[in-house]
Order: sequence, then C-alpha cells, then structure tokens
Amino acid sequence: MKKMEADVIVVAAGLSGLSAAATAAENGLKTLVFEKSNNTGGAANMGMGPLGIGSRIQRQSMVALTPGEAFRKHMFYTHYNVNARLVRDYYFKSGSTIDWLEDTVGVQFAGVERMFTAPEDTRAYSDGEFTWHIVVPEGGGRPGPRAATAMTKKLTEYAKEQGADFQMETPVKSLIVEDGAVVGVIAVDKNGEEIEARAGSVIVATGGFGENPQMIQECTGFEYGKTIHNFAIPGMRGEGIKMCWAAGAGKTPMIMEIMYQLPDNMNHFVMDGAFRQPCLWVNRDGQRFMPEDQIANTTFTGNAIASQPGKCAFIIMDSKLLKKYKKHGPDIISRVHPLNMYEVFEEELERDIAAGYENVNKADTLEELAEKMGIDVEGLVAQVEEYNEMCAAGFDELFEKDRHYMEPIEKGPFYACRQHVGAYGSLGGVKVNHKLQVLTEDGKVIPGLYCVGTDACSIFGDSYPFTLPGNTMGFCLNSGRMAAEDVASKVNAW
Amino acid sequence: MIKLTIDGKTVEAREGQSVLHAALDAGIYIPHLCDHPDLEAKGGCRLCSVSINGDAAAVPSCTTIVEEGMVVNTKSEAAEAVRRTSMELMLATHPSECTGCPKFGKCELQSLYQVMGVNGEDWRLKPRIVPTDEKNPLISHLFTRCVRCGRCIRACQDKRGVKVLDYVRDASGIHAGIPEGKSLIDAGCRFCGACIEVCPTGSIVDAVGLMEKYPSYADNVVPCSAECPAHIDIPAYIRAIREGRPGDAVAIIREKVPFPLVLGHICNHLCETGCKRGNINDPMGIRNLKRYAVEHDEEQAWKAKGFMKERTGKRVAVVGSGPCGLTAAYYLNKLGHDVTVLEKRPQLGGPMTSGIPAYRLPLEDVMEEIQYILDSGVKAEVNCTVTDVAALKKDYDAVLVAVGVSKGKKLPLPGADFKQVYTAMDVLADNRANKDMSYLGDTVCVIGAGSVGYDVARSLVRKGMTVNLACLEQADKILADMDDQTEGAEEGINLLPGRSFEAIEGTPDKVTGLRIHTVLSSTYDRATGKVTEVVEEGSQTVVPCDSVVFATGQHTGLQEFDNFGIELNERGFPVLDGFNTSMDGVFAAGDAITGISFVIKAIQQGRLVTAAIDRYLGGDGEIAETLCERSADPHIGRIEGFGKLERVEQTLRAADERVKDELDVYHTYSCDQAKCEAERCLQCDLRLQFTPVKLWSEYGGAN
Amino acid sequence: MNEKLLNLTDKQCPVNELMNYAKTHKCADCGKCVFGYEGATQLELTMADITMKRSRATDMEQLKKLCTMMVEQSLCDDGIELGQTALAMLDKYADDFAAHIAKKSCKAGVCKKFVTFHILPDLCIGCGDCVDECEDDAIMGKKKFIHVIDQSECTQCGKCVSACDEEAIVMAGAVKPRGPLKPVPCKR
Repeated sequence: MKKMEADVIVVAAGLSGLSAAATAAENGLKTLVFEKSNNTGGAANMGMGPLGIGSRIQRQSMVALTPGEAFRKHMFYTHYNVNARLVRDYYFKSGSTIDWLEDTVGVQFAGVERMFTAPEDTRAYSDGEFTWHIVVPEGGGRPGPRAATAMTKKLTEYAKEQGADFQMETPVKSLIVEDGAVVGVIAVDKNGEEIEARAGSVIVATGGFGENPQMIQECTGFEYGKTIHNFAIPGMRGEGIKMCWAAGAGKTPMIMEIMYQLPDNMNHFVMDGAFRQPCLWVNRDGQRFMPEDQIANTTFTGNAIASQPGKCAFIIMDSKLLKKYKKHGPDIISRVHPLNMYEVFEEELERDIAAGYENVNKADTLEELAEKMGIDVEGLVAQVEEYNEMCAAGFDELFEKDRHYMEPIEKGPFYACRQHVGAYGSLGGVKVNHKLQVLTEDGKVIPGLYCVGTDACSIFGDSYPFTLPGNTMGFCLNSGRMAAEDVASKVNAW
Repeated sequence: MIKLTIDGKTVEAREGQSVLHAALDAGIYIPHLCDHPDLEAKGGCRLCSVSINGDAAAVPSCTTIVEEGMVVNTKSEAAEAVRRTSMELMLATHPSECTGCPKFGKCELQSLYQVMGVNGEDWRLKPRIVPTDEKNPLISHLFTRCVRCGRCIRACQDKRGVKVLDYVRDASGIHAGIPEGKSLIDAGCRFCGACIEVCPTGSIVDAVGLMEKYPSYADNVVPCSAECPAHIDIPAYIRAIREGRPGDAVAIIREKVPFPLVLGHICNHLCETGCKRGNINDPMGIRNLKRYAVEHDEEQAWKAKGFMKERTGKRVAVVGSGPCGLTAAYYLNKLGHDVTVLEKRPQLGGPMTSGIPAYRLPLEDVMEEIQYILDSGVKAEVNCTVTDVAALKKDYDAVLVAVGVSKGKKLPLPGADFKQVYTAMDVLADNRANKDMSYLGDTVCVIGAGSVGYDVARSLVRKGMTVNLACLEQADKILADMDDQTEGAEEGINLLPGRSFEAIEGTPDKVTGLRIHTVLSSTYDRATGKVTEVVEEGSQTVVPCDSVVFATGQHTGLQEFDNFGIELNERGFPVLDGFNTSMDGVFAAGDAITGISFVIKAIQQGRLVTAAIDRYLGGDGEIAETLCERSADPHIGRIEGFGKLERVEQTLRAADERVKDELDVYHTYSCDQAKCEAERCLQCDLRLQFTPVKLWSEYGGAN
Repeated sequence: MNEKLLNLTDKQCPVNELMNYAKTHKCADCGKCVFGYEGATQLELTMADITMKRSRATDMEQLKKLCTMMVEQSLCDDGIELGQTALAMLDKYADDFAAHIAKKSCKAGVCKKFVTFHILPDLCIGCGDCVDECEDDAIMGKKKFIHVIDQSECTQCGKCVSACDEEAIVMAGAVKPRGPLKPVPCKR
C-alpha cells in the first residue's frame, strides 16, 4: 500500500473541492486532492457562474443588494429552519470571493444577472435578485451554458500553482478514523492500488448523490427514472456523505434540487424547450394547477408538478399558439434552448412520435389528444372550455395569470407534452456547523473532518432559492474556502 | 533525433514524428481532438493548429512532420483563431447538456472546452439528434454526442480491419455509425471495444454497468482475468491457441498456476461467468481450451524459463499436499528455500488424488504435474500426520499449515451414528484408492447435492449401485454446476430435491432407509444458522437404502488433535492475522482458512501465502514471472457471422458407456474444435494496447 | 468555384441560392472535416435565418472569416470550393445581403418573409374565394365586404393570390398599398 502525507486532504475536485484546495494551498498548507474522474470541476462544468453579494462587479453595476438584506431574505424564505450563522457567514463572504476569483485566480465575469423577472403583480416578493455572476469564457466569447468551465480551469491551475497535489482517477474509499478523529483517507488509484493518505484535516466535497438511485429513493422518496428524471452526473453517488456518516456524522434533511424536464432530455431538447411556455398547463385530471406565468421558476414549477397526481404535468398548445411562437418567438425566452426550435418543431415532433416517445403528441381534437396523452378527457375538455372563456374575457379568474399570456386553446391540431419532475442534483446529507466542521447527531465536532459543497448544503430548506440565483455554486465555492481557511488557521496558529 | 523549437523551447523529436506529438512528448500541450496517438492523423478538426517558421497561416500540427531547425508557434494569432473557431463550430451542434452523459468528467471534448473556454453561442445552434441505441450487446451508441472526429472509424476500419463503423447520414446529418441501420452483430462487429476506447466523447460507451464491477479499469475491460482468482492472462493464452501455439498458451497459464491440466479438467471456471462473449451468446469455453493446450504442448518450452533463485538455506515445512500446499511449496522452492511437504495420506495431491473422482480428473494427469514440482526440488513425505506444529516449527524456519478440509461432517439426525452412515470424504478416498466399495450395499442415499455430493453419487453409479441424491435446495437452486446435474441425471442418479431429512431408519448395525419429507420452500437465516421450512403436507416417506453418505460440509479436523500448537476458533479454523497464525513463523492458507473452496482459489492462496512466507524469511515475496513474451496483432480483420459463432463443447461420452468405467467423461477438443472455439474470443485485452489520451490537466496545469 | 452562382438572374435571390447550395453541397454529406462540414452547416443555417428575418448585424463579417478559414483549413477541394464560392458571392452580392439584413428586403422577391400580401380595395368584389383558400384563417371579411388580410396571422404562403379571379391580391415589399384596416362594404 502506497503512503502519502499532507496537511489537508480534499476529497474530490469539483467546485467546492477546488476552492478548498486553492485556498488551503495559498495559505501554505500541503494540500492533497483526490479526484475519481480524470477532469476537474465536476458538475460546475455545466453551470454558468456563482452567487456573490457585495462584489465589486455588483457595486459597479449599481446593484444595491447587501449581504445583510440577502441574508434576511434568505432566512425569511427558509422560515429560519436552516443554520442562520452558516448562511450569514456564507453571504457576507460571497462578495469577497468573487473579487478573489477576479483578482487572484484570474476569472473574468461578464456581469451580474438574475435568473428571471417575476410577473409584475408578484415582484414585491418574488423577483429575482442580481446575484448571479456569469463567467466569461476564456478569450472573451459569449457566455452560455458551460461558461463556468473557465472558472474551474482557472481554479485548477491556480491551486496547482500554489502547490496543491492532484491525484486524478483516484477515488477515496474511506476515511481513517482514530480515537474519534479523522486522520486521513484510503484511496484507490486507477490500477487498483490502495493509497493510505494521512493529514491533520480532511475536507469531503463529493457533490451529493444525484447518480445513486438507491440513495435518492431512501433519502428523498423519489424513484429515479420513474417519479424523478434528474441530472445524474456520473460519479455523484453519495460516497462522501456515506463516508462522513460512517465516521459518525449526523444527518440533515436531504432533498433533490428540483426542477422539471423531459426524460432523455438530450435527445428531446427541442420539445423540452418549445413547450416551456406560459400557455395552458394541466394535471392528469385535466385541471390547471398553477398560474402558468410562474413557470420560469423551475424549482417552484417542479414542486408543483411533484404534488400533482402521477407527479407529472401536461402542457397544451394549439396551432395558433404554435404559429405565434414560430412567428414572433416564445413568450418566455430560454437561455439554453436553440432559437430555431419552433421551425424544426413539427419535424422533431413527428420523429419523436414515430419513435414511440410517449411524452409528446399531437391530435386533431382535444379529446383525441387527452386520450393519447393519458389525460382525463372530460376534465381537459371542461377545463379548456372554461379557460377559453376566461381568455375571451381577458381575465384569469382562477389564478389571475398575467393577461398577456391568456391565449385560447381552440384551433387544431393540438399539441401536448408531459413534463416530469427533474432535479439538478441532491442537496444535503452531512451535518456541519458554520465553520463546515462535521458534527455528530448530538452536535459534537468530529475532529479533523470538514464537509463542504452539495454534500453539506442544507441551507436552502425545502427548495432551491431561485430568487437568489447562483446559490448552489455560491455555496460550493464559499463553503470550500471557509473550511480551508479554518484548517489553515489551525495549522498556522502558534 | 531532430531538433526544433516549439514556443521558444528547444525540443527533440524522432524522425517522422508529427509536430503535435513532438510537442506533447516535450510536455507542451496543444489542444487536439481527432488525433489519437495510435491512429493515422487526418487533420480534420484543426484544434491542433500551429504556425510554422513565422508563416502567418495555421497548419494542423498532427499532420505536419518535424524538420530540423523548425520553429513552431502554437499560439500564433492565426492558429488560435482557427482553433477557437473549430471548437465553436463543433459545440454549436453538440448537445449543450452534458449532465447525464456517461462521459461527464472523462470527456475529451469537455476537457477541451474547459481549457479553451469557448462555446458555440456566436453561431447558429443546431442539435443533431440521433436516437440512443442500447439494443446491441456490450456497446451503447449515443450518437447525438458524436463530433465526427472519425477516431472510432479509423480504429474499426484501419487498426482492426473489421470495417463495421463508417460515416453515416440520417435526417440529423452525418455521424459515425453502422451503415444501413444494421445491428452490430449483423454488421460483423467483433466487439473488441476499440471504438469505445478511442471515442473522445460519450458517443460510444460500454453498456450500462459493464465498467463498474472492479476498482481497476483493466479488470473491467478484461473481466475473465479479473474473475479468475489467480488472474491468469486468459485472452493471451486463447490467442496463442488460436494461432497454433499451445506451448505458449501453457507457458502463459503456468505464469500463474502450477496445475494447468488439473484446472483444464475440473476448474469451476469463474472466468467464464465474467466472459463478455456471454453477453452476445455463450461465454468462451475457457477451461476446455486450457485442457486442450496442455494436452498439445509437445515441447514444454516453459520448463526452461522462469526464475530459480539462489538457495537461501532457509527451511520450510508445508503441512498438507493439496493444491494450496503444493503451489506454495513449488514457489517457495523457486525462491530458494528448502521445502518439505508433509502429507498424512499415502499419496500426494490432497483432494486431487483422494477426493475428486477419476472420471473427472485422471490420476496420471495429476501425478504428472505433481512430479514436475518434485523434480524442481521440493521434498515430500507421505503417511506423515502432523499433530503438533510447535514441535515441527523447531526444525524449520517457517511452517505452512495447508491441511485443507478433509474431515466430513454429518447432520445431527437420529441414526447418524449407525455403522453404515458415512461421510463423502471417506467414501471418495476409498473410491480413489480403488478399494472394494461393496460395504455400501446396493442402494445408497447421498445427502447434499453440491459438487461433492455429485462426486459421490456419480462414483457410486459407476460401481453399479442405485443412488438417491437428496438435498434441501429446490431443483432450480442446486449448488452443483449444471454439467454435473445433467450428466448425473443421464447416468441414472435419482435426484430428490427440496427434501428435508428426519432420521436414518434401521438399527445401529443395519440401515434400512432414510426418512424424509418434501419442503416447498426454505429460508436460511445467516445470523442464527436456522433453517425455516414450508413443509408439504403428508409428504413424509422413507427411501429404502443400505447406507447413507453425508456430503454436507467439511472441516479441518485440526481440533481433533489435543495440542496442535496454534490457536483455533470455535469452528476449528486457525485464528489469523493475514496469513499469520498465533505462532510466529507458522502460516495457514487454502481451504484450511477459507473453508471448502475450489482448486483455483486454493492455488491463489498458495501464491499469496508464498509471498508472505518469503517476506517473513527476508525475501521480497516476488513470484511474478514471464514464461512467454506477448505479442498481439491489433489487426483482427473480419470474420463473417462472428457474433453468431456458437460455443464449441467437448464431446461427452454416451451415458451408458461412461458409467461402465472410470475414464474421463469428456474427449478433449480436436485441433479444429479448439481453434474454432478460440476464434470466438472478443480479445477484450486488445483495448488496453491503446495509449491513453492525456488531457490538458495532465500536462502540469497552465501551459 | 461555382460560376453559375456568380451569374444570377434578377429572379434569383443570392441568399436563397447560397442556402440551397450549402445545403446540397458535397461537404454537407461528408463530415470528415470540421471546416467543410460545420462550415456548410453554418452557411446554410445563417442564410436560412437571414431569409427568416433572424439575421444578426455581425453575420456578414463572421461568415467572411468562416469562409476564409474554410478555404484555408478544409481537408479537400470540396470545402475549399464551397468557401471560395461563398466568399465570392458575399462579395459580389454584398448589397443584396446587406439589404436582406438591414432592410429586410429581397429584390428578387424570393424571400417570402420579407413581403406582405394585400387586397386592393378597388378591385375586391367581396366574393370570399380567398377566405376559403386561406389555411391560416388570416383573411377577414364577409360577402360584399372588402376583405382584409390580418398581417399578424398571414404566413405569406401566397395561395390567395391565385385564388382571386379579380387579381385584387398583390404582394408588396417596403411600400404597401393603402386599404381599410377592417372589412368595409364594397363600393362595387
């Protein structure tokens, strides 16, 4: 068995692990990082940027939001069910973290954005805040999906420059616990050889359990591939969480970071994008279940879908609406879906129907459509009738949906799409304090063990706060830094 | 060597080498995608663009050959512009959602957009959607993620000569695929996996679950060798057989085991459960090929190879001469130690000569392999029972206890102590020693239908007896392997599955029958060791018989000695730390520590304990050796109907004929049969020949 | 280089011609090099977007750079030829491309998205034949009323033009004929 030694060991090199490693290394700690993939950045390579509050960029963009206000907003949103001290420390640090990324690590930001604008009537309490710092791709291209890879790359390079040692394709199998304290890890390299690595502190940052159907079922009650169709990024199997538990860590509530999407999303991307409009949304009984003007908040919409019978929802469009979208573009513009999706809509739809993909369909009558999609026929017909009357009157008496979106469903052929509950990944699992030290069930610190990022992220309460966007990445970045700084303060103390 | 300058750094390159590889070898990273170190460079992707000798134009460095004094700029404005544009163009039609991609975190394209920081947003985006195809065995196609680099096509066409993959066109455009929409089997795929190995994205991947069983990548790629307890290089020896080199095959097998022929007869072939050919139709006949190789190894060239270390003067006693003890003795002797094997029976070999019947394992075949071990310098004493290890240890530097599990166990039934109630171990030993078996009478009941139970039953059928073979397991859960079950049935064994045993009827001097009842199901509670039965009402019956044989488990027999000298647990097995027993310098291995197992497992135990003993004696424990240099032609070519080639079985002698004698029930493969069977091998190991592509992050971070 | 595409008639629109050329070019059927295949794809998609009023101000500049790279970086002569032809067209018909992008105008009248259809009030007899023909229900009117095309519904298919025996329906570019906004009784 190979032996290694360091001041601090970081388990996995996703965003939280990278920021922990970079911070530890720049504080002079001998830093050892184990990553089971052969690339760094983990799920963050899919994102566009992190949250920051009080950053220089924000001030320059005239964003007045302060960390204190965001903290109050967050705590109001979570009903003070979460660790206020941790949220406070995270938010107050988040601005300086963005500045650090810019000034020290060399990450460029295109600016700060919000996820969506809330419908006018609801803005007072549900508008998105400008906290999302969008990363500029290297060389200055247009930011788009995956833009954050520029940040993970820069962080990797920076951590290496500062002396962090990355062991790639070398998963950690277990923590070494001696006399109640964590003193190292057992890892296995790609040839199957075991490594015993020892360090004063271990920071676990493995990114949750999005790819572990069994854990999803046991910890959240969802059934992967049946009641939830979440992003299952290979490797996110909850190993870090289990390692911490095995070392005596307490458990936190665990949730999926809910949104909604079509199964096999990659191969049905056009359909997924084209139907994401505030037209008519009904449940299996044919009943409307939310004001459709809210669908840009994918978390809330995912929650709403999750509480419908069969955990699914149906989006109904008619030919007139399709023509309108084709001609004038969609009502809600997506950042990620192709612009020409309505041009290729019919072609894609025909192909999906021919291939037997059962989540989209079309029919000449509503009755036939309901039949094909498995919606209650009478329920849908009655709902459409009522909805069309309200459209004619120009007012949604049921949910007071934004009147701009009140377009009747009257001209065949009619189109429908069955949306499912999705999730970006999992949230929570390991109980930590505001220094990210892992706690036992009764709140005692386990010496030498820290847990950061998604594995420890239980500050959102029951749902992701989309009004403060960039929060998943923001917590990963900042919790990684906070843990590494705490380790450094101990190693460097005299 | 040729000297050139890349980004101001002087670099040495081989004649004919590409600028790209000269740079990469020198640790200078240039992005690249369609290039693969083992495939002909085409220059299609242009990510590796550079400028040469101050020339403004960008050229692909993968197809530019190094020249003396060449000055290369990998970061010229033109080169960077071409590189960025190419990447942007590819990403404009590549799915933007990487989540759910099986290659996430290991994808070259993902790593490239990470290092280059570009996306396709400035261009017109167009997803090229190709339905995912997971219907083929072993290989999944997700061509929505194809970037048309052509690496899989070059690997399949040129490197392998299989010519299944090509550029194909469908409504979404061009992608790699199988022309005419055929299945892989119909297209003539040889499932070598080269396409998977070279695909930079998640377009061609191992079918779900295939790469997760073992921690090491190589083990997942070659599961037959991974499953084999001794990790024999199975693809290599099958290749040798196919190419008409049985001697090389034996040498390869002998690198890991000193009993190739024994294993060729009776190995429980875990390798075949791992064999990926089994996902297509039936697994390879690996065990049968092994036997064929040994039986056709005329020159035995391996004898002249292998290590033999200088004598150390250290003395080792090995107690027990089963496969574990003899294997350890063989290797310890090669390591230079003086080894004496002590065997309690009159013949060496343990279960190989006193248990497993001759119709499965001919005596002369075992003896030949044992003789080679003795010839190599191992001393042996038979009829020598060790009862006190402490005393023995005084005369030796180290002692290995490899006594196996040679004592049979009986179930605690009323009548189990009757005279005509025996254990399988005793019956099999008598049988193997050609003793008169008539003491068992005309009709026998054997209890327990594992491998040992069948050995007893089939041996007694050959003595003309009527044999009832009863067990608790239901018919579909019988522990013995399928060959034993079908052949035993053909030979006339009366199988009584799903039975529970109440008592042996008769008097202490005369057994008259076995009282049993039928159970519809039973569950075994591992914690308490209790069996819960659902009994069929009114099924109680007595099977008349003259004797009863228990084949219901074995133990070491060590607890029968008053003071064996090492600490034993309550089940009679040595208390261990690794292979160390409670006494310094005394080791234990094999069935004596694992409980009853298979020969191949015991051999591996012998190898492992050898290393431990050698280290104890001051050696390095190294017993790896190469008895045959490997060579494998990556160009495997086409074989029409490859996916449908059926497994060749050894010829089984007719049941009415084979029950009349003790001879091997199988005829070994003919030369043609062996080659046909060897031809079916997927050669999974060829995949490992490919040079792994290094990502930017492996070039020491910032370039 | 394809000479035919550099000698277009007045009835041929260079944007459409280039789109169709790229779409059916050998490069679109090959896939062996990025600049040939993806270059052809972007040419086709960009031209299609221009005809669909989805052009971007940067399109011409971007395509010129792309075509130059196609000429320099394609693996075989096909890609080089496509790049050269496109470059030459972008140059020779620069005004046409500019007009499509900046003014949404197609001199040849091929780009249907740039034109609108109108019913001349003086010629309309209120027969309703056009209404029957229109698949998009984009024509308002009833018997003896001057019919009016609802531009927000019209998809510029042009079928109404041939349906009208009175030749009252015309296509218009930048200058639109005058007429009522809603159906009014016929004068005739």
